[in-house]
Amino acid sequence: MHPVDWTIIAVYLVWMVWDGLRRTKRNSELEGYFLGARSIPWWAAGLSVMATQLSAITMVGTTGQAYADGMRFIQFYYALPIAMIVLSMTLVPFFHRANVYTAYEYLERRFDAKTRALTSLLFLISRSMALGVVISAPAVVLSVVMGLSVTATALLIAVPTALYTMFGGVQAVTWTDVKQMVLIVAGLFAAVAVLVSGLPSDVGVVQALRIAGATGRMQTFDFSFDLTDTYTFWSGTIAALFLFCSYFGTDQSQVQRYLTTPTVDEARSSLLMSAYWKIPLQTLVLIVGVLMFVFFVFTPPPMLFNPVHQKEMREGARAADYAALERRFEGATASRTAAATGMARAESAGDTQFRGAAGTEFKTRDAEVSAIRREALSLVRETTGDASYNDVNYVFPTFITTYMPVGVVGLLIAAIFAAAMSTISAELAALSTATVIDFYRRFARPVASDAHYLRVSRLATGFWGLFASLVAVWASELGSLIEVVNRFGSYFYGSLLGVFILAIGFPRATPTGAFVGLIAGMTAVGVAANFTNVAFLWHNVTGAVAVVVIGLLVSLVTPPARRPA
Amino acid sequence: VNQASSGQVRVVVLWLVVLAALYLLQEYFS
Repeated sequence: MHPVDWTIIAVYLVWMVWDGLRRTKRNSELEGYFLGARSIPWWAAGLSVMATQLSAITMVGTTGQAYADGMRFIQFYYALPIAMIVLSMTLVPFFHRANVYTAYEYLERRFDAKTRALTSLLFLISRSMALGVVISAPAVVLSVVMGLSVTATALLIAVPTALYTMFGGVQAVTWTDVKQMVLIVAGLFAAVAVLVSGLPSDVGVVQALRIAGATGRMQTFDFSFDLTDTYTFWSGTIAALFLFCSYFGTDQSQVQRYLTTPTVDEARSSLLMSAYWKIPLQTLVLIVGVLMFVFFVFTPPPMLFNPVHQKEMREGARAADYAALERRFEGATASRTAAATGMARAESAGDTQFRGAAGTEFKTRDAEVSAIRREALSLVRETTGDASYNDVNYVFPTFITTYMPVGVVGLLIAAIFAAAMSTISAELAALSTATVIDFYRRFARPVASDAHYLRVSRLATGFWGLFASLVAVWASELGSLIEVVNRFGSYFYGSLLGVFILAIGFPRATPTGAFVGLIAGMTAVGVAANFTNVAFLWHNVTGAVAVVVIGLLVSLVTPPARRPA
Repeated sequence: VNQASSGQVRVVVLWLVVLAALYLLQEYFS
């Protein structure tokens, strides 16, 4: 990378820490630190909601996925606007009026302390481990493209974020999120501009998208009903509705975003911002991936996008096999380019008959290229022993560092940092809030000054930052453990939503009903996840329905909650 | 309440428009 790009990244990191640290409005009080003194405008909270949800995995993984598989991932987000409407009518007013710090605090008021403690504990366990992945995934990819160690990139992401979150609290999280979101969107538009300008002069955007369309990469709707397929119209509208209601309505990292607004209406507006903008934004992310595919149809792509693996393979024991694959790959990509050029010409000339034939030819050539790449990937997995290696995560970063102009490289790498940091900061603040409010203040020190709680909160933020960084650095050794915890976390999402449905939808639901229902829901998801092939999105439905049904049955035979006077 | 519900109606209308646009995108470019 050019020194100019390094400077841009350094300026970005220093700017974020400085900007976060100067947010001090009523930061000597708990409400100022955890809830931004409930004075954050709706649009800032709304951008913060979006920035929290969009992690570096979206920037890097989703663009790569679109490169390989096209737009079909967009279906995952179809239910999001509806989830936001449901939440703005149900949970948002409840949380706001209850004047709570955490979503789980509300559960004690409605049910009892054990339901609150269990949900908050499950949140702490699953989120802290997931946070390790949120740091390690971009750290691994950035280490390759920036030529640094994984530890260095993980610390470059985590330390500045932990610093401004520790000292600036939720105000720092929100206002840095706003700037990070602007940077991310600017970066994505810059990527589109560079990609379009990098196409051959006789290939316009329309032809480019037709070329992508010929391989099925412009598919945005898959109406097949298959419970084992993750991305279909039905999983995206029905199953994902449960996931999004749970994530935006019951995950502290999101609930805390809109608890910072002064009124219920502003909280609603902040959520509805995602309802308006999330699908268009995700379309933009996926279009970047699709345009990269077309770019690499006309510009010879590397067979592997991870330059470290490519070098290892060229110099390793299987170098001869790899070289033979590379020769076949070069031939296949050249034929694919010729077929695409034919297709673009037919398109410009309006020759529909020839365009159809050229499209079929192009599709065949593209399948050849993909088949050779698959062979290369299995060769890497055999040689390195890294069975989970996924080259698509390296497509976008490698494209950035190889083909983007000086300056834009720095902007884009900073945007990947921004995407990671905006998610991490919100998670850290949420972990700290749940630790202090749901455990420390509830069980250890119910009475103390705000100054005392603030010291503990900063320590808690620092502790979780350190914990997540350690998980991130040792992610490769902890691989199976993290997977287990994340799987466990996915059992939790739908079930947690079920508890909140019981809380606000069914006055008859009792504390014991909710507690037993939660455990039953998680067990049901555990069974479904381990003994069926049903795609993970549907587990959210299983969990929520199981909690409500079992919870109501148990409620019939158990005493109701004590009502506060 | 009216203000909130008109915001929600706007979201639903825009949601349908966006889905229709994505469907047309698929059909036009495939």
